[in-house]
Amino acid sequence: MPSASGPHQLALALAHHESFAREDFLAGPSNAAALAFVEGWPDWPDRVLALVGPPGSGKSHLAAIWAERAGARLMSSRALEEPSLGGALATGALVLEDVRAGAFEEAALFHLLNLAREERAFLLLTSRTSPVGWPVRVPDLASRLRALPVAALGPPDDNLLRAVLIKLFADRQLAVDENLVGYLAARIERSVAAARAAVAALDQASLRLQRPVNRALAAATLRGFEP
Amino acid sequence: MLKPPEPAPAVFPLPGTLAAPPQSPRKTTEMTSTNLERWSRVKQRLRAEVGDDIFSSWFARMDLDGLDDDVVRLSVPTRFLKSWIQAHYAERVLTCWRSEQPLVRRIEVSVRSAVLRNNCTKPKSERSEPARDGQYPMQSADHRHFMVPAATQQEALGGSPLDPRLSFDLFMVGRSNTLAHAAAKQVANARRGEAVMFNPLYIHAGVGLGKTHLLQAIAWAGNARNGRKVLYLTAERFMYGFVSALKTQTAIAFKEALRAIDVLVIDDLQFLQGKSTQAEFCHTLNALIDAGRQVVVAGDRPPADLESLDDRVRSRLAGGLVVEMGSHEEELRLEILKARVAVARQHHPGFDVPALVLAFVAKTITHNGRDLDGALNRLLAHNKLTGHAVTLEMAECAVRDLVRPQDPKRVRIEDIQRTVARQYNVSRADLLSSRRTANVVRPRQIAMYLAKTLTLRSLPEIGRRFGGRDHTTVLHAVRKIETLVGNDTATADEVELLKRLLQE
Repeated sequence: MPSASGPHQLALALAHHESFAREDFLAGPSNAAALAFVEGWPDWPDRVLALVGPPGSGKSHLAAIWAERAGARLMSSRALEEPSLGGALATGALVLEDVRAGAFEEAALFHLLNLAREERAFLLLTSRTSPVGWPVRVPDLASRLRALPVAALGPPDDNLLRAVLIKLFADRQLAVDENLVGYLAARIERSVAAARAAVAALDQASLRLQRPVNRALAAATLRGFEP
Repeated sequence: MLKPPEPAPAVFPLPGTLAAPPQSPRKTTEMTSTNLERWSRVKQRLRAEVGDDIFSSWFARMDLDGLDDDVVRLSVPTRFLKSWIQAHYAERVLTCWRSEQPLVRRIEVSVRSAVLRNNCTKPKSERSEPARDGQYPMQSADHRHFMVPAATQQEALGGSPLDPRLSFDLFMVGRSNTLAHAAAKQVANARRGEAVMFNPLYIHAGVGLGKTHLLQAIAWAGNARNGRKVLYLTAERFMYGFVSALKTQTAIAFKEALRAIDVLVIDDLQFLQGKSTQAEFCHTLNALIDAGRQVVVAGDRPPADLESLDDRVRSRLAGGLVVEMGSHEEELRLEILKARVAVARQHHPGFDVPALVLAFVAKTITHNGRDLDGALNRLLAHNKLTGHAVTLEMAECAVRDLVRPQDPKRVRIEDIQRTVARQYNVSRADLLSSRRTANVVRPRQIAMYLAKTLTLRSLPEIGRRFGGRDHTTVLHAVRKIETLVGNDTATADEVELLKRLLQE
């Protein structure tokens, strides 16, 4: 910390709560299709569905909303191994989160898809990339993955990006004005990840420098923040 | 986030005759002899009402789990039985109970599994089920007459569940699968005790070309014929279930059950692994063939290429009739699509797919049958989400990822500049320069607009990449083109063309 800028308040890295409730999900054209699937359950084109989108696009939030509705369990794809599968589908619905291309146990996923079909259970996969492109060695699994309906979440449009910024500030109990939001939205990358980083940086700076969160602080913070 | 795994004793708990499940520890507190007696009278009433056949198909394996005040808790071994009973017989069962016990107001049916039996402290999770189960789209009623014997037989022997859609009626025959279909039909139509023509029947084909459909069709058709018992097992289930039953149960019980089978159908043989499993499989194969029972096996390659199997099994498999199913020809793909659309329309009545679109999909999706399912899934998804009719244009967009499997290309600002420059016949340097003649300004603005909409870059970043311009200049360009696209079809077309060029 440069001593020239005077004494600083130490900002503790206290976790804040990010709400995953339905009423806190921000809808926009980029996530309309995925949201419609989640809201439309159980009227799905198939029992298995993949939510695909970049980090921060709302996959986990949507998965949480669906899990609440469908009584689904949540399972990280890292926990995917055959012996755990029997219990995983016990409630008839399962979210398999963050399946990474090439980084899951193929036999277990294959088995899970078959089991879901046999047990008539619903399965929601979330992933950053489409299952069609996952490098898979078991041909039977590859063809099953290709057949899955995919609901894609895109990067937010400008309106959604603004709304996301407001929500992220609100999650930190910061009330900000439209002016600041517009200022930020024009200057950060159009992604939720960038919005999250910008809000976190502003919050930290405000606590550290004990200055209000406003345009001036944003200008100062972004200068060191932009690529 | 997953709750600690349930104590699952086996991957596939085997209900029914092969592995008599451990008697469930009855809750003696509530399971008084009076209740059990009531239950047996209720069953008699039911049997009288629905007849012997229906009773033994649906209620024979229904157990009384408890009676609390006004709620009767019943359990059945499978989810399917549960939803069937709930959908069709819930009222009847309730009425029968009321005549024994007028206080009863509600019937709860749950699925008992090995897990739940071992863990009787979990009635809560069972209770939360009915609400959701009502949602399952049930098989249409016309499957009923042949599902009755088949489903119960299948479950009693611990076989793999059958998909009611995979019947001969819905199996489309074309050049590539005529022989396999004929052989399967022959097997399915054979009568009990008739000499077996080819044994084993071995069908091989690549992924998604209809092996499982053909095999399950044999199981459905075979079971529908009186007196023939067909057991359909995937190799996986054979490994986990059949063999463990073989090991834990007395050999006698197993052999009795086996002797009752007329046709053994094993799917996905390429997944059969392990020395002892293979030995058991070989033993079963020999025993059945020697007893004159029909064996049908499917795999993704010819017997000789199943490297994981030992020579004896391979030669035994190759000893009967070996048939290959080839890739679907275009006409067959079209027929398959038509049949699938018809099935989909049962649940989604508004799903209309014009002939032109079907022809397009049949022509484009050449990979295998499962990709055809994938294509229809995508069309159905689009149709349901947007409410727009299925058109050729929509279909092209919806199945694009199946034709060219890659995630949408990341467009870079340099690509945009290069493409726009080429399209408007200016140089990229012109776009970045400070020149302000009309022939450069418009392309520059369009390029900025595309940079804003096709990439995630911020306005200042885009300004920097366009010769160090201010972000307000970029914002102005974006607004300007946005307005033009909205008002002027010529500009809208140009922009649309550029987008397509960039995203291909």
